[in-house]
Amino acid sequence: MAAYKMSGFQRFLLLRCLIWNFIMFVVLNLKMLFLVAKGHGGTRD
Amino acid sequence: MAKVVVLGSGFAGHTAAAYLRKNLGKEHEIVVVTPNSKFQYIPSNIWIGTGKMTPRQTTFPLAPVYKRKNITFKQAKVLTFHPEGDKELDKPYVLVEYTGGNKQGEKEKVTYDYLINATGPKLDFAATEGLFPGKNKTVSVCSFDHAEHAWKELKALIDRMKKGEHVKIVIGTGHANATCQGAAFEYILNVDDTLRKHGVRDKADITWISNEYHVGEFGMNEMYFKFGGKVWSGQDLAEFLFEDRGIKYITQAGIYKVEDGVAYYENLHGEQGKVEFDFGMLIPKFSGHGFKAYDKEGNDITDKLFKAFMIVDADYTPKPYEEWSAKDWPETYQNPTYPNIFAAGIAFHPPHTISQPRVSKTGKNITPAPPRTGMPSGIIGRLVAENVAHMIKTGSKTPKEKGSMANMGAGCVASTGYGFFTGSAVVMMLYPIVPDFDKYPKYGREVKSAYYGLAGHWMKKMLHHLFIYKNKLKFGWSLIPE
Repeated sequence: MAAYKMSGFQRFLLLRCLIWNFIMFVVLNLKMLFLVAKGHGGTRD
Repeated sequence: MAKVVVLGSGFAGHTAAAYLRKNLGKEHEIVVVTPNSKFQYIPSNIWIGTGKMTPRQTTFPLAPVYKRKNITFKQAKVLTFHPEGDKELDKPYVLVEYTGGNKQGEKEKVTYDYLINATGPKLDFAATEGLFPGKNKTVSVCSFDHAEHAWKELKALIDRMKKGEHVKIVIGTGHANATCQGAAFEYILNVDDTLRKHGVRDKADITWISNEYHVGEFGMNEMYFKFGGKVWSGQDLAEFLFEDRGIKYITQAGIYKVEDGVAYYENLHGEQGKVEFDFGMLIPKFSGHGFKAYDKEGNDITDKLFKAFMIVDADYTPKPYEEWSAKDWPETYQNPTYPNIFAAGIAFHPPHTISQPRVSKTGKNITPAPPRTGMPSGIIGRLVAENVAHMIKTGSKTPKEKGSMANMGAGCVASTGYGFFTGSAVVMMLYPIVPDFDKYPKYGREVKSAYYGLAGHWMKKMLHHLFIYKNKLKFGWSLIPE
């Protein structure tokens, strides 16, 4: 895996495509909120 | 009426003070003792160190915030702990010395009913010979003023590169037991990004050097993520980013000495090595502050309160790595000898490292210390505050809530470049922070997702604004999770 290189399409999608990144921004925020809800630790769950 | 004293105003201390105020009526006094006049949002220091932000954007004065919230603010540093008082004063207190304002230099005995120690780490540059920001071509991004200096030096270096000079840049950890690899990781990728944007990346050799067993370990033992439909290790992810950007890496290296542009290290094979640089950002060892504690008679009782950091309800029994358990980690952060004293954030002494400990052939311990970032520090600060409030309200001597780093999650957004259209970041989600192999036998943790791209930068930028708003304790601050 060390020599893994991004293809041009992957690079475009991850670093340039605004629509894809906006969708990912929303998804990441939801995932982070889920992690926070789950991971506040201990008896408060 | 109870008096709660919070030492420190970082993520843990500031959060604890805020939640104490939220949970306790005005008849109770909350006091914050901190040598700093400003709150600093440390995760954005890497952007100060690359000229993308100024300290003004990442800091704010604490005094007006505390005044608005009816929290007493003392800009002072702690000198000694007296958990039983002394012959003259029959109340527990901490001896402090003012570091700013009209009382600068004056000492005061600050009494308390409950004490929350959130003093963070001491940046122990002295643990590595010759390592100090501004000395021997090294800089630091551990505080906003260090980061500001780092950008000044980097800018001067870029000017030299624009004139055609070829330079060497080394970034990583400056001690065999340093932690905070994540900050150095973000900084090296942001330096790479900055050089590219100035059109001088071809004029620099950039090298990562760290005490990790392999890159992407970050003092967290092995981490695994779902990325692009596959399970990637932290090592895969870090190597992919370094290979993609032409960054070389040296791992298993414990730096013990820095001379003018040269760092000397020993690796796990016992081999001696050196790496040369024109610009070096090396994270120092984080140590305890070396506080002393005394009983009523004036006898030294430091060993009841402190190891390097404060003793809490962790299992400190020395045991081999194979016997480590998630249960070793503290749940209430309460000192076992003095139940009215708690430690939050980096100030509590961990039971052991999170990484597997490793010793070189010559007997040198080269193991990253356990990182405690803003998210767990904030969560612990809140937990401790809620427990103290509960104890005050009910008269109980036992904390109600428990929360261990072995059942706490962390979201890590590591910037790899800055810019609304040209930035990027890696987003890693981790649950739990401390691996629990009883619960998750294969990887020690749930395999959560990782992401790399522009949306990560937007997220990091959003968190910057969100947390500065929250920490200013503005309307609705408590709705924003730690």
